[in-house]
Amino acid sequence: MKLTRRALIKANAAASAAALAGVNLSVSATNLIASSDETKIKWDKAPCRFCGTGCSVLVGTQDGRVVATQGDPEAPVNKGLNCVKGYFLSKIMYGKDRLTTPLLRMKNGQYDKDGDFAPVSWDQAFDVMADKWKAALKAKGATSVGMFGSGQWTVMEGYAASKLMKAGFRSNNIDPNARHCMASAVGGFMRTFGIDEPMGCYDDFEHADAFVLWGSNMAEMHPILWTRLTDRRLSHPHVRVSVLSTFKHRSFELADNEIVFTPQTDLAIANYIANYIIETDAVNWEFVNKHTHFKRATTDIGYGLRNEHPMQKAAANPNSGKMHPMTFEEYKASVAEYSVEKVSQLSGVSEEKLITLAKLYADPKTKVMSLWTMGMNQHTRGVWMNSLVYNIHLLVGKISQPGNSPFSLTGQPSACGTAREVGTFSHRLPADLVVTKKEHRDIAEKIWKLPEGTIPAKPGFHAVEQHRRLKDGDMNAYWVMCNNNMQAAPNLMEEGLPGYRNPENFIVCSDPYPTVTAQAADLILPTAMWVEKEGAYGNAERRTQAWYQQVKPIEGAKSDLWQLLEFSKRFNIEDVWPEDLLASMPEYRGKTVYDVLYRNQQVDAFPLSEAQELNDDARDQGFYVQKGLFEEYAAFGRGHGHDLAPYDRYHQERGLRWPVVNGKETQWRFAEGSDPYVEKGTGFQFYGKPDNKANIIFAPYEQPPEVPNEEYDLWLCTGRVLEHWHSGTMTRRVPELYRAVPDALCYIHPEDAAKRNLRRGDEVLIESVRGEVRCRVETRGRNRPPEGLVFVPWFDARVLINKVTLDATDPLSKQTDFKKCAVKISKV
Amino acid sequence: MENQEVHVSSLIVHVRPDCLETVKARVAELDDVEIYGDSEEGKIVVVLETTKQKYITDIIDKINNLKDVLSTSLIFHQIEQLDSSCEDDL
Repeated sequence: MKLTRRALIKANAAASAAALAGVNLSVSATNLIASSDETKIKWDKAPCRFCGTGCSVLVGTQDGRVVATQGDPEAPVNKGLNCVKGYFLSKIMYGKDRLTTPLLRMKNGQYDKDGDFAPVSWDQAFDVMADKWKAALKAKGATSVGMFGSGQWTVMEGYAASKLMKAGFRSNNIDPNARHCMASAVGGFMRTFGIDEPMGCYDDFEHADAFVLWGSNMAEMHPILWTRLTDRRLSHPHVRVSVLSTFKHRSFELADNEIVFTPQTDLAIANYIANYIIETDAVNWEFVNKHTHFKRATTDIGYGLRNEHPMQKAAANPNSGKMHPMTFEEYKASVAEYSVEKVSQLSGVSEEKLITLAKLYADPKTKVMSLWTMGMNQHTRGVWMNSLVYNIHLLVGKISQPGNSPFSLTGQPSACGTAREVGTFSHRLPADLVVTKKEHRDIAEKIWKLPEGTIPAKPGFHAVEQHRRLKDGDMNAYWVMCNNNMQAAPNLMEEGLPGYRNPENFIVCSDPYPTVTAQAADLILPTAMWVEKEGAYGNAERRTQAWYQQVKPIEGAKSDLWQLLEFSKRFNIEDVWPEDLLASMPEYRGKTVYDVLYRNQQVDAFPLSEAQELNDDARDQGFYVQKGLFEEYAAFGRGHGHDLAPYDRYHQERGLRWPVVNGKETQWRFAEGSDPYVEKGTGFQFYGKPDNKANIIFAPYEQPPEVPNEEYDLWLCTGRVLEHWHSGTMTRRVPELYRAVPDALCYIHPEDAAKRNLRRGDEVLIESVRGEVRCRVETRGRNRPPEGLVFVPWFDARVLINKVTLDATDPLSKQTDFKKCAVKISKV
Repeated sequence: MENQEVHVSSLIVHVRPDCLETVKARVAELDDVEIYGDSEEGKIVVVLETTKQKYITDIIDKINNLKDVLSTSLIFHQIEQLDSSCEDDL
């Protein structure tokens, strides 16, 4: 039988798909598979490198390179499927411009801020870097050093980084890029439930009767979850899908109720639904009386701008998160303002559509899953908005049960696992602890075997504040890891770039590729990625997943973990701690920061022999460093509602959802019978709060900080597209795989285009008061804005839309609102 | 060497079940695409074989943009060097 090898691979590819789809292939195709020679490819599992869904992927390696990937059929999350981004997984490590040596700005053989990038050794790189850190610490103290990390760090990397900053350098100036995407969700969870992350899980998709998307384009951003939702909708005709957004996008194709609302009026819509529930007597009184309190948010809290900004000065209660108790009658009166007539007028949504939406929640027989991402989180009232949706679910008791599930999705593979659970935010410690509470710092210091008072009590600079402080010259030594924040952060021209290029500052960027951020830095460190190292991620449904290293890193590149640990060896504890702290633990005198933090008989407790043969990080340190870091970190959460399984078990499982108690994962938190922390006979316990009750928090509609006016007459909304992930650092480097969206386009309504004499494909100038970019307009295609709004994705380094955006943040979460500012558009 | 790479992959294209035949016909018209099977539930098994110049996401975008296509999932993807894909005796 003569056959091409390619025919075999194709038959194999078809067989995998057919098995999942329940399709029978012809006999000849099946025969091919039986004779296929697959021995050359070695397969192992890893969570996908991209979004927060947490799909498990089988990775095929051959001769030290990744050559194939397959959706993992044993994975409960994706059940054998991958989305289009799966194509990039085999290739993301092999882009032509992959960095292989540290690069330092030099003139005449020395570091010079105005010099050109030249290759240096790792030793030289760390020498210069350590000098700059030591100089900054000496001149201005711990607040002059900072780090910007990522929800793409592995759990262990984030943990090692947080420990290095908060305990080593004693600076809380560490924040993850998750600040841009998840901070409002965290704020909402903490205010309503007192504990972070969704109570439900992805199993809710197969139980819900209705899905409501509140500012999420799942069809493009979470395609695998969208597939589960689609399957449910099509196989159960009674199921209804409502999609809310400020413009039409691909998720509208499955929508039974299409709701395009005026930006910011989601606040009013949520309050209207609460009002409808009360008016129609649909409140679940048993649940509400037993399990909730009513609270009112402090209002007029500003827009998280610089303190001297006029809008910030005009606010009555800038940045206030204080809540006040209120009665049900007061709550009822507060939401009564949001009548269907008034909200319809404000939002531009018909009364009929609003009523249809409200009925889904009010009907006791309809199980509702609410889903959201950036539309709700990147919002100057994002924390309020998250709680307003919880209010609805709590009023009707539709929570913590299969199919009844308010579900905050995430954008990054370990936004939950690393940024949130490890607590790499400027105010957080592992397992929901915060730096502002003495008893929390005590716990961390005890686990870390450090003297009392090591961790500073004051929160550090958050993401947007970091750029402001760099510009102002308050923070002078700064390390960016695992993200492309120069491109991602708002108001690039007025804050980000002047901050990086401030002559007082030394900026280090660790990345596999020469990103916009790397090019704006002073030192670039080449970084190993994904299966070039061992790690663990945590997804949006509390699922922790671990993977083994599967290939050697590209020659010259080193993992973030290696970089952090090696850098810590450059500091003696005397360099970073004051005398009084040293005096309380004199045994640490003369040791390095590395010794104190990572050779503490905990992080180094597991011998190299327990690690896989291929584990560069473990080999470089001489012990099983990933396991040691994970186990020390897990001590924070065990017995406190955040229990993780023993590390080794994660290598056997397709992930487990915490809390993992007595070896068993938890699907629905706060519900008796499912969550081991809930006491018998209680039904539900929201145990994040001391009295086990969740808060129903009233907050009103308030205006956004910037609205279109006569000159800047359009709303601008930014976001992502399916084929590229975030800033496109990885996905745009695989030319044979993509051409679908080669440049970012400005999606505009045909009428708005006609008014400006624009045709599809014309180049335009998009201007705000802060900056301008050029790009081409698209009047058709996947995104269809209403009149008065344009949508521009931010993946394209040639169309830096963040030159235009406003750095207004939610005053409580400090998360930027990338979804609304005012622009004008003209033909060039 | 990179110019000689071939990408073989399989997709499940989920379509509205009542539109299965029409979508299948449209998918079949695309270059580099073979249909291996389908199910009553509206799932089509598609195999792509593409070389570097044939942009894979471009093809998927075309499929996604077809009327009545609900989602396209990638199942399997392998990169093969062309020299090993010549005729072999098996």
